[in-house]
Amino acid sequence: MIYLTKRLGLSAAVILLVVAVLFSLLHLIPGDPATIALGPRATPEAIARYAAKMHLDEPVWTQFLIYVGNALTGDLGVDVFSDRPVATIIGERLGFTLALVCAGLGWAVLLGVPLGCLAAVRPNTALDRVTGLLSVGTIAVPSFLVSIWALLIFAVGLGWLPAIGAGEPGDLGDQLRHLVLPAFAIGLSWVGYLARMVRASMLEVMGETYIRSARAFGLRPRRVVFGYALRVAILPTVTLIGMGFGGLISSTVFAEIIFARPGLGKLIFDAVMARNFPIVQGGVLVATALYIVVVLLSDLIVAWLDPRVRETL
Amino acid sequence: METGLPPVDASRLPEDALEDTMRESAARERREKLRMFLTSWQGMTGLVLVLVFFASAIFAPWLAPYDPNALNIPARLSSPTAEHWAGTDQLGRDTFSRILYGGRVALKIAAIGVSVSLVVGLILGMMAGFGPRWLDNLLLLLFDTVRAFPTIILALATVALTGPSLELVLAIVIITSIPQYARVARTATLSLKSADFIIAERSLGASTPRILFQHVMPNVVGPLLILAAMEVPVVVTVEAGLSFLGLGVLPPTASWGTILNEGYLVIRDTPWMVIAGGVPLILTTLGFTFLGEALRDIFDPRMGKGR
Amino acid sequence: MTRFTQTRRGFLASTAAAGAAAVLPFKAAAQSSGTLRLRIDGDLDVLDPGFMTGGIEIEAQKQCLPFLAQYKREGDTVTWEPTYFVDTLEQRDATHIDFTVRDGLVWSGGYGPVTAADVKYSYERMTSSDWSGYFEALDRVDVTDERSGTIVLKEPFAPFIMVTLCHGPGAVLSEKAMKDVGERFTTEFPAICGPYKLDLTPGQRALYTPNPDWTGPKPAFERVECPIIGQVKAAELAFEAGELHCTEVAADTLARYSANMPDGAEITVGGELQYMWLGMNTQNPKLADLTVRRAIQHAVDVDSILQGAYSGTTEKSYGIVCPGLLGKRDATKYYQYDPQKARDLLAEAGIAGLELTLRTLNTQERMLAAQIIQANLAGIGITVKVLPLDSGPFWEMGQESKGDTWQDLELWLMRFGTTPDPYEATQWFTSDQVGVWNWERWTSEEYDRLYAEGTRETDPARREEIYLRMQDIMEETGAYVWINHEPEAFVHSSDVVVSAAPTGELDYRRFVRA
Repeated sequence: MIYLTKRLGLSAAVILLVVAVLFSLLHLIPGDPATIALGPRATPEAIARYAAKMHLDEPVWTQFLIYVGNALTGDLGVDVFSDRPVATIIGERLGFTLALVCAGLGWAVLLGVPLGCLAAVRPNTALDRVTGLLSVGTIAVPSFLVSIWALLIFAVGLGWLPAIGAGEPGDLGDQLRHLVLPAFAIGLSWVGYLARMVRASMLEVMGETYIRSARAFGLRPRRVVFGYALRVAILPTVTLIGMGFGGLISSTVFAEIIFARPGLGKLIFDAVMARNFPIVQGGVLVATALYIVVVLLSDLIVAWLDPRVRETL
Repeated sequence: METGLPPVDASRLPEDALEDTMRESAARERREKLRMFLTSWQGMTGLVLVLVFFASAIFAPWLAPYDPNALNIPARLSSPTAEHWAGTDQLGRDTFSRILYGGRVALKIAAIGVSVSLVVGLILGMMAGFGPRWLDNLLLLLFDTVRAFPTIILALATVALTGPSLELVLAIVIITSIPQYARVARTATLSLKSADFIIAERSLGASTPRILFQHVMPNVVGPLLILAAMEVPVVVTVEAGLSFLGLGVLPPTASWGTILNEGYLVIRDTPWMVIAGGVPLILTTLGFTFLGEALRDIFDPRMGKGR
Repeated sequence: MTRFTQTRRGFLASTAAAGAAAVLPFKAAAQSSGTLRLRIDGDLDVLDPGFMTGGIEIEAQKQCLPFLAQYKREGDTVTWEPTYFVDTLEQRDATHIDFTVRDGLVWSGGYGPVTAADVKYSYERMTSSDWSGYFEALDRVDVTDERSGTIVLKEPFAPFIMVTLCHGPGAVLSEKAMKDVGERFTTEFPAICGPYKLDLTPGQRALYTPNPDWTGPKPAFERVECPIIGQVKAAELAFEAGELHCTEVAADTLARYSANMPDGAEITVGGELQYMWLGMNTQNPKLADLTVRRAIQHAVDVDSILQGAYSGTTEKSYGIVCPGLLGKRDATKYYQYDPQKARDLLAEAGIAGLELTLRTLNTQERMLAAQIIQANLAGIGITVKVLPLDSGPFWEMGQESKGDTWQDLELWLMRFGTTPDPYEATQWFTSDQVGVWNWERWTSEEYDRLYAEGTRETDPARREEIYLRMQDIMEETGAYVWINHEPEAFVHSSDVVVSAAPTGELDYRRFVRA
């Protein structure tokens, strides 16, 4: 309980600081914040409206509190061009990014974890070596390169899968087909990461007494590996997934741009190119908060699975 | 590793005595470690790739067959030939020469980015580890905040305000990697804080900076250097990624990312540019990863849980 | 790579003759669904004809709003014809155009029939809009009865129908509906009258479905789906994957398709009326000296740009009047590519170590063109920094009303589209356009006088003389290096016949099945 409180408190403090950073970014740049935020395309009315909404005539400290208050209640401001709430715009895109992240991470877990287990059960066999080579190989290729090459090979060269977009709304099969290549691209290096991580912690766990005695009692090896050892060995992997989630978000930015797929990353990128700062600010906040929440969740899962962790921090 | 407790002898300063005993065993250990490194295929492959990376970047002006920015429009979009080993781009520029020069951008970012963040991270990490509790907590919170931003997302947020430039890429790389170094330095410092020889030093009235720089730092730098080797590919990939998005170096400067970007645009005319732009990126990543892991396995087996 | 002959006729012939073997797997999109799938390049932000950016927004207006006239292609020439929305549209004399709106047209949302009063309201409103330039000649609209009226011009202005009424600014709005929304709108039409209604999913797509109130002829396609695909290259990939029926293609792809047309695909050229140039700010201290500007004019190798950036698919330009129009120049008068002369001129001006910024849209062709210019100018000792910009900031950088960037402008690559009359292109460079669209910021009394004269003149020979002289004046300022006339080429599946305006917009309701 103390662990939970402390951990939640820390995450809350970090989110608050992130909001502060985003707030001050705008104020660190010399010039009128309204003009910077809305860009050169803003009409005088829009600037006046923004200045009123952001309380630019108040002291900076009050402005900050108002900004934080708005952000925490889900009010991320208004898009410069369409006048639509930023939160609504982000809401429309977030689903695509989450689907991509889940699909990418999902296939990596489904492949990487068993591979790691098998390699750990039969260390120094051909299977282990191949897994090792595969791990290093996939980790060494940056995900945006995987995206480009996957596009080149599977969409342009072989024509097996659609190259761009997220598929027909309402047509699940079509959407899934559009998900394959980007999910493959962002998940590939994770297969390697996970296999390595699981293998290493499995080897460690398999050496522990209770596992050895379980085996000695004649429990089936499969039962021992997946029933007992994996449950313990998965802990560092859960932490790794939490920590690596930030990298995963960065990968989705590239995958969304290369495959012209709607999503949070592409939204932020397009907004950067168009100097649409309210969207950039809101999008960055949501992406960052998402990362913090995932790290928090992974820590809580580990603490729940492993009572020892609760003592530390 | 058994170095023994430093003898408390009033006639000699403790660190001298410590150094004597350490020097001997350290020399032996160094020879042993060098042998281990030289016989590890991973380490040697890594070393060769890293040396190739450095050499090709440093000697690019002598190695490159063409001026990387010289136009040759009649020869545009050529496949690899005897004249153009990696083909040419849309403007007939020699891709091989551009890759060599792109390596210089990568090296520049890696060298400056890694060294600056290592030094700053080291100092902040030692401060957190050795300083009072409140400072430790404050710094940890700051590190967590910086790490809360996915790198590319942070880069996008800043580019939106300042516009693209190489300096900005550098700044992003430095800011996002400082917490990594600082955390490692902090952990190592914390474990030393209660070591006997440090306590002895302190009881003899040594000042905090003296303890930190003379005794703590030498023990912390090792793991940091290993981390630095592993961070180089991360830094190089961030640069390539941002340049790919058009948020890094400006034209006509060649960078692996811009070559990939230009190749992406002509991907159906010629696959060669995206292949040529990607290969050096992979080789560099492999090289530094192999080297870093080999060093880690040898010098600090506990740090590496992977292979 | 195929080299095209330089006339449009020749170009069309060469694409038609192109082989059918495909390098890449290509599957033609299915046609049975009754859905036409087209690419749009961005969000529709302002649908209001008075305050739009243009382009795809005009495409939307053509689907949902009445127009009095539309373009008509006859072989290689473009003329106009009355639309379905009018019973009659006739030029009575040089300053009077009579019209009668068709009976039975109704606005959506219960705003009643389309009336002559709506036409009056819409056009007179345009005179105080962002697009007022198109209505400068308009004096007023007289309403005769509920459905008939007369457009009255201040002075004879021959191109009014072609340039204004056929284009986006000629859209008619419902006066009542406009009054209800406070006379301005952005992403939702207050009332529509056309075959399609529009649903926008920002950032994703525009969807056109049948307008239940529409009584006129049904278009060939029941639905039109327009996914937003920013990058031309991504759109080309989608087309090759069979996900689109039609998309604009980039110059290098055009060259590749023309050499090797994918199965079941064809190319249609629209938007021929575009002119691109390298602009220089004559008021920037670094470029204030005419000799320096003249040196830059001599230093740019336009032929390399045509090959390197446009794969030889575009026609070299010598001015702002486009091919096929009265007053098209066929040579430059004050410069030609001559790097030695350029170096001599710079030396004469006593300039060394000049550093300039070249701003350009961040599209592939322009970035390549910018890098060629960068290399050309490096050859005469000028260091150029290329600054790529997204369309939003790019189109505003020279406008005084949109910030301060205009002061820092040095060099830029610019392309304007125009309508089938030379007057339209010349209007943007008059003295009162300085800081609006005349970003080069020069003024010439003679030019202004000729501009006014050109719009009134009816004798073609005299008009040609006027427009040739006006382009001489522009070139003499040293602020222009003419680059090319870039057509907008659309690749589409062979079973669709594309309707593209000479200004480059597609008109979905006029697409038919082959």
